[in-house]
Amino acid sequence: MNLKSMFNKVDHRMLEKYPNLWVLGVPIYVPILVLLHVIIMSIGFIYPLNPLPDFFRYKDFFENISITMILPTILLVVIFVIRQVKFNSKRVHLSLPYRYQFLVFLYFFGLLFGITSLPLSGNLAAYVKTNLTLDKDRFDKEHDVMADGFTHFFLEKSYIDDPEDCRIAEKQGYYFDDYNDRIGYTRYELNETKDSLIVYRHFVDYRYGSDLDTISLPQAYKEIETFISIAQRYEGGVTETDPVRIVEQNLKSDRFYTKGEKRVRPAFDYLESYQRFDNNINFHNKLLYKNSFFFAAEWEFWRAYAFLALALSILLIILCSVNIAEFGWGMLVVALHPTVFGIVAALTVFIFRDVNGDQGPWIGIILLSIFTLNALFFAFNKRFKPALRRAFAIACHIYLPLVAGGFMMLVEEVLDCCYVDSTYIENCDCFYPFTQTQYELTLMGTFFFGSILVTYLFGRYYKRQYTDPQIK
Amino acid sequence: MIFSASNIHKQYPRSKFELSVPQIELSEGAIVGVVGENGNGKTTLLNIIAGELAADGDLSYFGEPVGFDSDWTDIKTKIAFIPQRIPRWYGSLIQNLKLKAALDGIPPDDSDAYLDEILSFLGLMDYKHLKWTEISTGYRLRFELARMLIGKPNLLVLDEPLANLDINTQQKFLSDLKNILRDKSYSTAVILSSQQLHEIETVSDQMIFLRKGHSVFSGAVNDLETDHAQLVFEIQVELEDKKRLIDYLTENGLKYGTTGEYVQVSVDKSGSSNDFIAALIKENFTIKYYRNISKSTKRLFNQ
Repeated sequence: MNLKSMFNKVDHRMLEKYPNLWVLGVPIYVPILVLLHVIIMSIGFIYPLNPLPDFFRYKDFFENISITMILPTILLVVIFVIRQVKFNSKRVHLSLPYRYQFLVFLYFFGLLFGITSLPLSGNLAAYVKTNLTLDKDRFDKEHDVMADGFTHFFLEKSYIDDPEDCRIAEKQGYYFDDYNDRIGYTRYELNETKDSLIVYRHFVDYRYGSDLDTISLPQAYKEIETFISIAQRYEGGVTETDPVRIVEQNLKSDRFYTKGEKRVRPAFDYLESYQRFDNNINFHNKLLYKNSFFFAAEWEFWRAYAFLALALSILLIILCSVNIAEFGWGMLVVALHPTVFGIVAALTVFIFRDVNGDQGPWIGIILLSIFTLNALFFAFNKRFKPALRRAFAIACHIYLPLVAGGFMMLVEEVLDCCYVDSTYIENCDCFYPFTQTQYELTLMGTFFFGSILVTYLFGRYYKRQYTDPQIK
Repeated sequence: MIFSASNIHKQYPRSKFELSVPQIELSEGAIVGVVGENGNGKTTLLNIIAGELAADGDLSYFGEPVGFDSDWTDIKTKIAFIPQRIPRWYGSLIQNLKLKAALDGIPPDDSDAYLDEILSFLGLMDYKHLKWTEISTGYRLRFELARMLIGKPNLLVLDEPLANLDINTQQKFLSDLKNILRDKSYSTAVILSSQQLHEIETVSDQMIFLRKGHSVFSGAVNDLETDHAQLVFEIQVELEDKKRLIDYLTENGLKYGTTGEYVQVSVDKSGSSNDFIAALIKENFTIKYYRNISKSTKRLFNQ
């Protein structure tokens, strides 16, 4: 039995036994989606993340996969939407009953989430793989050693904007800033007894703090040699290898620079490519500490990304639940109603421009309430034509979760309290009983679960609208 | 009783059109035809009966009066409504029919045989693997009818099903309808609207004639003759003889009306069709067309 006839048989069986799943395209879309995820995950998994160096290229690689997958993903979404509108929408299949509407919405959400996450599955698989191959302890150790040695290989210039101040500072070795604080700009010099170096510790990444340190000359030479031996594994090749010469040259470079010298080279730089070394170290950090690059492995990312699929699925379920022309009118209301509201809000702000700023959120609450009640009035008042009511209902379906979030934000502004975990408690008159993170999670939860709840309720509204006789 | 309604009233405030039908009853196995000129409320009436349009009046479906808490989803599963414009089907025709069968709870093992029975009945077996775009308007209508019949609806509402069909297809479609109602497995009533008076009167048990939204006649076509004191004939003569014919009718004190080349003549019931034709032949009129419309709603059009 060939593949096509096998598919036809499965398709046929699904149609007869599970028509509600068949009409949603489950036998077509779910296997295709699973297959695509498997392929892209395989690419992510197979791609060699070992051995070192050149890790930053993986970043490019996975970013390219994601970018390349954007167009096919959009295409898949469009095909899926067309398929649903053709086969699943009320207007083309009048015989299709209004059953399991909420389950259909959940299916849309699941599938659209699957489609929109396609560009990221390679990234996810690569992350799973990194746990098997990368040695975090070794990197941490080498990182700290390199950070010490880096002091001798690269130093940005210190600037004093005014040339006269700069001349004086250079002569004195320090200067007084606008607040009359004594600023010493020494960042690489011998101490008074000339047996130790005073150096400015810094590195290419955020994990390493910056401060002055005093080290002996032999220690400095050792740091330089160690850096040369290790940094090359992280694309940190150097142009000068003699420790004595490096220190001598560095001592000459340490001076105050005027603003006019800003765009010239750093004070000293013996790296073949600062940029590549920087990329490489930072990529390691991201790789090992799940920071930025492997965002696909982060719950916070998916929590936000799910809104894309949610928005698409809400639009699709509306499109499949109402008449196409009314969907168009609904979208017009969605666009125009906030525009009118925006104009009214702008005029209100203009009229009350002299009012105390604390009144702003109150005005916002009043306007938002009027805006919401107006939309609800049109959607549910039987004196209006059903088509108009449905257009406003579609708009309300989209607005309400956003409005709920908007109210939360405005109320938060009205109360003007500090979060319980606030670091500036001396300025706080009152405290919310929750942290900022808890507040943000609640806000997101309101958008997310509010949208789902509203979709359920408006699903019932559309059902009544299209099954009950209407006054036209 | 499948459907009954009294005092149906619907008003469109903007156009000031008003539909008013005092009584309609649709019993099992009955075909009711709705006729009238364009814009006289046929589609509005059918939309009300199909549950698409709200109206005042006491409506009752399947013995249950309609109220505020009526479950229209349930009512509509027993109603099949074919509007003037049939929405396009996507996918193959048989796929769509199978979907409907599955949604209506026909067991998968019985589905093929059940569909074949309906398709054979409607003479559609040879076309079931085609697509919507590959069949003619007449076949689309019959496939739509086939789809509606799958769920064995109790009430079939057809809005202008004969429009866009050629005469043979019209007759085939109407005979399909008759056959469906004869089949005891369908306990169905049919109400349909059409402009094809002769064809629709042939199959209908009852006719409703609407004029400006009002039901002018409602009953069996035979009642039209008994209800009226005169017979009505529709005739067409050679064009150059039309004026002479009108002069002749006027001279003989006969009431008449004209529609294009056709002349409708009212004669006393004591006369007969044969006498009238004989009189015309005697006067040397060449009769191109003649029909006794005494038992047809056609006579109501010119009143």
